[in-house]
Amino acid sequence: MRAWILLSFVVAAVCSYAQSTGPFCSVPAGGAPMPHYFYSTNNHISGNAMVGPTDERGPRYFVYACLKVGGYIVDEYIHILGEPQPMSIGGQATFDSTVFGNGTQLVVRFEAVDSYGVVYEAQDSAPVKNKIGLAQVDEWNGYSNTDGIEETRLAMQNLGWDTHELSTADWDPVDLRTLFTGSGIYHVATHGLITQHLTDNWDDVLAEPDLLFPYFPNYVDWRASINGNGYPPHNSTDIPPVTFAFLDACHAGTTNAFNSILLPHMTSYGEFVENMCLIGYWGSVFVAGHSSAAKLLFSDMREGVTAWNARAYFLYANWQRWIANNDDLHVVRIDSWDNVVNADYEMRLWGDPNTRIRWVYTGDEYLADEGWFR
Amino acid sequence: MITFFRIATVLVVSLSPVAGIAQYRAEDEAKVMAFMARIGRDDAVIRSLEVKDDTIRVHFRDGGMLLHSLLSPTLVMYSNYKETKEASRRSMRESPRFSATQMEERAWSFLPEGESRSGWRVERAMGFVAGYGERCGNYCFELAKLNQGLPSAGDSLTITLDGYEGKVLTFSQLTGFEGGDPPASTIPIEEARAIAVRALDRIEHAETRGWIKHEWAAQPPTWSQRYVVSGGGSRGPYSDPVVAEWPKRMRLRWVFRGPGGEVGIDAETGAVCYVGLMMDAGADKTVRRPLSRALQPVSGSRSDEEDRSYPWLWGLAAIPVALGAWLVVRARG
Repeated sequence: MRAWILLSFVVAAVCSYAQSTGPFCSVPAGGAPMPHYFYSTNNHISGNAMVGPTDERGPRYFVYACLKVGGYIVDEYIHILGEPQPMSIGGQATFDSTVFGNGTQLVVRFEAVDSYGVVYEAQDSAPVKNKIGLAQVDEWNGYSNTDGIEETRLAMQNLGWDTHELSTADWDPVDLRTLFTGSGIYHVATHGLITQHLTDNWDDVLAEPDLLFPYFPNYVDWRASINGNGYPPHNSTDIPPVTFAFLDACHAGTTNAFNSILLPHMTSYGEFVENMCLIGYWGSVFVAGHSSAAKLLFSDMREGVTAWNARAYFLYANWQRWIANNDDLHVVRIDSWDNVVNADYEMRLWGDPNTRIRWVYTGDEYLADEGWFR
Repeated sequence: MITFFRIATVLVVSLSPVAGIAQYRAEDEAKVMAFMARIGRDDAVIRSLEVKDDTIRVHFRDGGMLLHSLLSPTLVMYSNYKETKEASRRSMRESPRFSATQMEERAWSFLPEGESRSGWRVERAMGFVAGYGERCGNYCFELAKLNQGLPSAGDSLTITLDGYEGKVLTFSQLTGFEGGDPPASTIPIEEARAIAVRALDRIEHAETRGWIKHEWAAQPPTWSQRYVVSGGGSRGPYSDPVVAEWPKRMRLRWVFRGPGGEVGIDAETGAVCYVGLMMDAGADKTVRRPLSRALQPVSGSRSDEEDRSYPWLWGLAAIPVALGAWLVVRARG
């Protein structure tokens, strides 16, 4: 029995008030607005119910309740004799939407049964939206030590994420914006500078608007128009934000400029930058070997490892590989061929270190008992 | 097989108090806690410990994580996300309690046992920054061991220190790299540079090759010297085959770096050790042009220069000039 909001009205006056206002059953709890969509690994659902009025048989109370998502029970209450008799009851859970296919219309259902066998039911639904956006400079495609997005695609396939890829020649900012729209995982491997990166046709995409040339494509404007009003998952456009971005380009992590990719930095549930982060390099990365980062990062993250730990494992493994063979062509190097990427500052993480793209977000590095929900 | 037994040992130890097997885990724990004591974190409580792929992997209750290699050279990495985050939070409302000098002194105190300061140098020092993010609220230092008085790619230590309590937030250390002897003779820098520039011809992609050669001709590459382990059957991209035939040991290299790439030349023989291309798009507009299209004629296609020339700005700039001229003429009139 997890996370039950058990509102037991033990005071007689409160009980009678409750019975005078029931019956009632709602998803989400209390008639709160339903999310416009489910995305990534930190989805909050709830439901609640209140018993009907007292009749000649006497007061009622709940003996059973459950919260279901996609038909699976994720929270449950069973009354035990001798315990308080709840006249109002609620359930809540947090779950990973990637266990359901992208596009699934996911039903959240709350069911309760009172002491006279009366069933209370409510349900609502929202679509699952999980998209991976991958883009890479064309000349790096097809080589094992440079084709980073292929590593990501392989690691993340068959997990419920819908993968979209820009890996042909001449993709431009317009193509990239289309790809970026709705991408919960965003991996771009390209040439970069501190405040901009390039597209395959060598146009600029800026981290932030340029004061002199505000019409240049930039992530602040892109996010503003893609998100619309309100915080995800209640934003007006019904398009999810980025959960995890790997800006696989030189200097993308030198400053925090590219944190604009994660705007609006909030959801309507959580605190500042919860379950969203960006990883970018601090300096000039060598082309040869850079794909190893994607391979190691995503192969850990697909198993539920948090972004912080996945990065730590990558740094360690990258260093180990270099120790074994200084000239290994699958080592990620930065600033100099002899400088292996092995320190946090060289591969910076901005945002929530506990970001998770597989298995439910827990706010720490530990997996929930049930894996996909808690 | 060894790894299998180690994993099995950890699993069995958690279920069975067999003294002989428990001894092994105790050794690992002792190793871990000795390291934690060294970085002033001996109060950390282990939440989980496993041995996998010759690495002890430990999670602590306070958010710390340690990866400790069982091989030599030995790699140890510690990080604590909770305290890193807390230091960042504090930086938004408090000034640091320690100066960069104090923190650098503290960083030096973590040199491996038996090492002297004169044999190392500060490779990189990053000061205190206030704000949100993992580089905020702390100081970071990278110390590297010298070989024959010159930089080397070998033993090193990177440490991040909390700007308020002086706590170790992250710590990465490599020890046990064998140093190398100085070469019997070295080729002069001019010769090494000429070899490096010629080595650019090995880049297969014609336009990339042309662009880098053009840039290096316009802007001579910077140079440095460094001891690096070479040989032992492996070699870098575009290197001379002989490099792989050398016995594996630390050797001195000339390193030349220019726009888009870097070339390493063995200081003793002049052999090309590698030609490395970077994902860096360069620092200015001319450099930022496409590696693959840099030599294409600008006319006939939309170029970056055209994008940003904005001739109407000249018109705007002419307005105050014209106004000034008119005022002067009017005043004289």
